[in-house]
Amino acid sequence: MRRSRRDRDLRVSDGRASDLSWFLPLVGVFLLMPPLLGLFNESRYFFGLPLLLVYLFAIWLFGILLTAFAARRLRWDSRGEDPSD
Amino acid sequence: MLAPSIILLIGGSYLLLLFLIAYLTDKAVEKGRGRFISSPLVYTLSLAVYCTSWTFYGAVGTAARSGLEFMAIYLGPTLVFMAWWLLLRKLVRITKDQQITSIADFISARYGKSSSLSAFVTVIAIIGITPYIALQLKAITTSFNALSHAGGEVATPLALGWLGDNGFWVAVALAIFVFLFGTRNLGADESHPGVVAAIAFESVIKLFALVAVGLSVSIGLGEGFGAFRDADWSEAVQRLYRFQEGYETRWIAITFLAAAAIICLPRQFQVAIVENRDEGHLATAAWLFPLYLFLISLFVVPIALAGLTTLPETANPDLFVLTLPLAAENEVLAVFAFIGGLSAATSMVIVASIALSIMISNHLVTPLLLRANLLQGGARGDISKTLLLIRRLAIVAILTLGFLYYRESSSTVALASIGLISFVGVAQFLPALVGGIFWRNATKAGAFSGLALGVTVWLYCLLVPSFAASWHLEGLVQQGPWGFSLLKPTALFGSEGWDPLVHAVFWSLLLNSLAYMAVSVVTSQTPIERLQSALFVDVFTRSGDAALPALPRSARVEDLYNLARTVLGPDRAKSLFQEQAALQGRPGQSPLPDPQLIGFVERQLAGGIGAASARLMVSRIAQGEALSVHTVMALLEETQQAIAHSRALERKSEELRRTAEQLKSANEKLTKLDEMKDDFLSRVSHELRTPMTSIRSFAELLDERQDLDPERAQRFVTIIHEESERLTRLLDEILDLSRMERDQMDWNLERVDAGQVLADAAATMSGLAERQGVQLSLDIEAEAWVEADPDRLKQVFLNLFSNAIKFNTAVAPQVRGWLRLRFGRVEIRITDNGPGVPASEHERLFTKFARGWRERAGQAKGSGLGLAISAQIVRSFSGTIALEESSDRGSTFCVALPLLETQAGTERLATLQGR
Repeated sequence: MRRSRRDRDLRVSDGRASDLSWFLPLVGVFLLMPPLLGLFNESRYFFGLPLLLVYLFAIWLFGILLTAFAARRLRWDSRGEDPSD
Repeated sequence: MLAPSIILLIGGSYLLLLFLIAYLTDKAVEKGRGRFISSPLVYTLSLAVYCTSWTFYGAVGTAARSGLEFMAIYLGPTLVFMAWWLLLRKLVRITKDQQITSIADFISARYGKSSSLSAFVTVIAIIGITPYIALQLKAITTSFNALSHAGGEVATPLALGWLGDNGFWVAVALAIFVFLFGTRNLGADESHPGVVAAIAFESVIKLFALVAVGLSVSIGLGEGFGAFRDADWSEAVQRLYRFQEGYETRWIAITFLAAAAIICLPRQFQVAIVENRDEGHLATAAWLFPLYLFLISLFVVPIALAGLTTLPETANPDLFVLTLPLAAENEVLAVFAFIGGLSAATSMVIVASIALSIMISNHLVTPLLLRANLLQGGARGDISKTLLLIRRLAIVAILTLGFLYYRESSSTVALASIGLISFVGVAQFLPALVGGIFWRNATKAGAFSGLALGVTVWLYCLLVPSFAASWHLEGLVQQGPWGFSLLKPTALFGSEGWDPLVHAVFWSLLLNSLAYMAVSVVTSQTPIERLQSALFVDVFTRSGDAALPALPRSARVEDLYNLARTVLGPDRAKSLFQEQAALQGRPGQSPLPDPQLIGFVERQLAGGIGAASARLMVSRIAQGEALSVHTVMALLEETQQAIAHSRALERKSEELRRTAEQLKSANEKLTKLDEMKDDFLSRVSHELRTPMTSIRSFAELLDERQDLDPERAQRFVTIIHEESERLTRLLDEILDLSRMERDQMDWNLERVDAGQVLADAAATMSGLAERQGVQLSLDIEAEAWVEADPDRLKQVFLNLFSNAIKFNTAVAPQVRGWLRLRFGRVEIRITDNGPGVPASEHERLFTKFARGWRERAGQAKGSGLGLAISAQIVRSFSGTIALEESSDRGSTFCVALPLLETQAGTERLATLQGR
């Protein structure tokens, strides 16, 4: 089913959201893997909670929020050409 | 303490509730209701089948045993869903285009619809998933025993043997469930709304149960977050706070495995890719599913912490979720936790057995029956019933296998390790799967070699050591085969001292990928492989069925119809063919058996029995020239050209649309100009008529009345003279204006002081001002050198002054001319305290004949061209003229001109120094 032209124009203008969808998982991998993870592997506390736990869950939640943001903006013609390919 | 009978009753009621939900949903969907089933929320919840009892009980167990490692199991899928745009979307699109039924079907379809490849993948999946199903049955039994024999009481072995094992009855109940709701029909509309609804319901239950236990435990820990710091510093508790030395490799390996599992596990491929109804749902699941995983992981650490600090050391960490509420004597919560675990286990068994049964029937049994020519259909020529029967038998076989494995396996193996062994097994699909959709030249031989090598290493490195004791293989594990220590299953090629899981993941996937790539490079694709690889890799550049290349084949439409009827049943076959006939423009007749139709029928069959079997069946009735690489390349090129052509057309029509728009707006402008010209002409002729009329009438009077006294005659002649002067002036002005508008004016540009010009103009007007009783004042700040024609500039000022004086009706009329320097410009303002310009005239003030000429023409105060000419003059000197403000207390006109460079520089400097 084809969507209206207006929707498809909207998609073209969303090139940045498509960039974000490449960028997010990459950054996620770097943030959640050693050696970066090792920086937070300390016996320290953040408001009474272990720092490492807080870090992991915070990055996780932040990633979810950004993904939701990017996904909201990524509208595409369900049968059209792929702008990112 | 709860009596076993009560728990059985509760568990049984829960399973009955699942049956009820599935039944009601199926009924609702049949009646056309139940749209909620195709919502992104239900899709996301069905993905949560990823969280099995391994999550529900095992995550806490892992946390208690190995610390934060458990989070990797949920971070891996999170990363994959963050990248949904790159991977999942492509998988879903291909699956829809090619009517893929399972992961085995996907891999086989990519590598030339090979039936041997799909059979091989199916066998690997069975080996990998059976222990996983056994694990769920084990979790149910263990949790049942923990609940009914709480307090460390040893379970009394029931005399009934496996008939007394509630794992058996759970397996039977689930088999019946899948029978009823999971094997309803075949083909493209193969969807199981009842199952999906039940799974979504179970996902909600297990999340709520775990969160409930987590909240109650967190409250029980007391003092809020302080508990973390004050908790007993045993080694196990420390592990919950930070990683231990050398955590890196296991963390990376487990994250990678979990990321692979979320697409390679047959049940995940089933719910995420095959049962996806709308690509748009992925956009929601991309964040909602990670959020679900986030929430389910959030309370794992508190529960593990509470279990480690409050329960006796002998307590099984895998059961903390259950034993903590029991220890707190909260039996309702304990039962809720049990239900949560039950839902996690049953949902996995249901979906996994559906996915596996489809794979077994499509890729193992059907090809065999086809080859043996056993699949001819009954008297009605409909084999869809046979296929459904095969699926049901397959389900019984899978659950039996799972049950047997559960009965035989030792009960000491932790939940997590069985789960991870399965993950490594299915992760072997990853290179062939992901490589297949991005790498054009990957071949079937490459996929085969990679899979075979990877699976061999997996079996050798993980399964052999875990069965070494019962199979008497200790020698092989410790010294290597025939004492060949480089091939020891736990230390391949001398990799001593590695973690067994990391060891198996590393070697199996490394060798798998290397073999896949190397063999793909040295072998070449068959024509059909080439075709399929192009369809998979370029799925986004080919839009819709119309662009799918069709192999040049011919068949009789009756044969095609019979084939479709045999596999899909008469009703669906009939509606599909009518649909196609309508598409071909032949409604009510049978469709033409062109290559497109043959390709379409093959895809529909593939939706029922898999791509390989469908190809086999169609190739029996369709004749075509022998397929060569050349034909395939030509086909692909042809469709590529068609696509490019249609895109070029689209671009062209877009260009045309734009040109038409431009033409339209140009035409509108021209029409407006034309109207303005007509308006101008009519105004000019009217303006010329007034003096002409008076000249003519006085001249007539002089001509006719010879007896006029000389005095009157002289007055008439003076009037004629004045009127003709006015006429000449008007004509001069019109000529000037038109020359200026056409840029044909000869300007006498020179360096002049605008202030001096303003003073000259004021001096010229002082006579008029005096006559009208207007007080004229000047305020010139400094010299202002501009490049202009002094006479013309003076004309502008004269015009502004004269307007300000003539139209000033104030009691004490005042007009003020003032000059200021600002930012490299000179601004000359002429302000009066007259009645102001009516708001309705503001817009047209500087156009020709704007000043209400019609009404004031009789007053002979101006031609109405003055401001229009002034505007043209100022524009020629690169300046601007504007009405700055106008109210009933007066108006201000402002003429702004650029200062000459030399003065502009010093002036700017002066402004900066804060003159």
